[in-house]
Amino acid sequence: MRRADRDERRLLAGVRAGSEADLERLFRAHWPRAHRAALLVVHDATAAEDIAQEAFVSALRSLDQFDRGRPFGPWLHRIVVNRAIDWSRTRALRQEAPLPTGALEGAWDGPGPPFSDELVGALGALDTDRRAVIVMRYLLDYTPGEIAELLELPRGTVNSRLRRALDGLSEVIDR
Amino acid sequence: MSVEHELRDALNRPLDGEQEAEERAWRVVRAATPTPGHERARRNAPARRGALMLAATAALAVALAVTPAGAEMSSWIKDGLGVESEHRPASPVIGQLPGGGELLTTTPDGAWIVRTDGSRRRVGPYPTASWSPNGLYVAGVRDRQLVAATPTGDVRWALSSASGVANPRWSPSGLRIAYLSGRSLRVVAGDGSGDAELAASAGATAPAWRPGSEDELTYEDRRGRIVTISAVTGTKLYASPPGIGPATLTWSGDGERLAVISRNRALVLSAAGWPVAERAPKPRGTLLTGAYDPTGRRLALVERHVGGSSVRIGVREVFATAASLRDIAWSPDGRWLLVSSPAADQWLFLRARRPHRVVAISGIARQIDPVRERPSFPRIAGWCRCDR
Repeated sequence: MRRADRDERRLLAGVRAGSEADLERLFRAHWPRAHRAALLVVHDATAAEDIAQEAFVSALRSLDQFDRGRPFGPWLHRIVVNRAIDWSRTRALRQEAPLPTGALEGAWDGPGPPFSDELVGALGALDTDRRAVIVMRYLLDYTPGEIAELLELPRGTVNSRLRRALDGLSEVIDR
Repeated sequence: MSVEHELRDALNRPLDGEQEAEERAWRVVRAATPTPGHERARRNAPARRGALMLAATAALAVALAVTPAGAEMSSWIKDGLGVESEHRPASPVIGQLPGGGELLTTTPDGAWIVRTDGSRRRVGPYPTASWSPNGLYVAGVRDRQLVAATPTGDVRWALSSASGVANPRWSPSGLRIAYLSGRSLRVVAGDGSGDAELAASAGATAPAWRPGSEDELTYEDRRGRIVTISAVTGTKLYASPPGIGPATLTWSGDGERLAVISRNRALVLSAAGWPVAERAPKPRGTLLTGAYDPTGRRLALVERHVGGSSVRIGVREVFATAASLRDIAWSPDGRWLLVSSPAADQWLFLRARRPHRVVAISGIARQIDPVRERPSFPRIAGWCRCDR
């Protein structure tokens, strides 16, 4: 067993026993990528924070059901990415009152996502499913096979989404 | 450099606000997770369980006899719903909301949403707030500003008023928000545009939109008259004689009945403004608030009288308790009533249809705001179906 795995097991055991120090170490180790994954999928700073927080709390509350032989990260990432996908889909379906088209845009001044990078910004133009696989592949470093397992998708679907997403992003880079 | 390399670089570059987000999240995660103190208490419990049980039993007996919370607990057993056999201790955790939907609650520190699964999130620093029709937005008040925000807290627009802002209410169509500013009743479009005065003389009562209408709005003027006005044309459709208010105004779900609830009576008016019924409190009692069933014409009233509080639906008393009650809200499907008891720090979900049930949840203030050292007991600002 790798040393990192052993360390994580110790942390998880400490969290189960109620150690706040271990809880903080676990949180600090996993929060940045979990939060960033949510942010890159939903492209909404407030929602991403919310999603990552809820995923963390949900994962911690289910620690008793967690397979102790497996790493914590993929389990957390699966919760985060699935919630982020659900949130994005729900937002796409939202319809409020029949306001005139475009009536809201000029008047709304809420904060946008904190992206200054053109390529990351271009991720927002992809559909949610493609964004999710890009984030899992290039931020969280999962192989297509692992992504397929975590998102419960056929591996061919993951490959196809990755390829099409990269094609879309290449256009931004080549511009 | 390949697209893949550029992507890896770009996705791993720091983003604005990440550190602040991490600290906020840590506070939430820490508050939501059992602490070492909890764990020690659990571990030590078996050794002292016998002595603690004895002490707890004695303490509970005293508490039941003398405290409002205790009175609340004992009264559930003999409440008017006939639920003696179904009495359960109050749950310490907000779980799945009976009746579904989402609750909007407010404290002096801000507005919070309780989702269907019982999870909570803070919308923003709005001590007063109300839902938009489908729960896509929240109209909140902070300082002298009216703010439209998403349930996740994103501010869409804000407008300021030197005279202050109070009691915003989103119209059923979603097109308008009515609010009070100083002595006037104002209306602004749902996108924050077209803010205009609708009536120059308004009292402090929250206005109420008539469901199913073309944005008809009822308010109380400063002479205590109940006035219904068209928010589209500004035409007054109905005005009662003076002296009825101050009151709580609530329209029935079908838009055919308006209840004007003051301390000594609930006057039920037809849509045309004719009195059709009147409900009075018990002798020496006062009415605190009330709400119409959003799916029909059942009026629920909260009453305070000697010896306690009670809830009525129509003329039938369905729940009585020795503790004081404050807010009331119907579930979106009209099956449940939520009544709050600040003194007991509890929410009581009353199933309004057979089979009757009471679901009590304790420790509400701490659950809504787990971060603040002394959280305030929340007001119930609305319960929406939230079909987003």
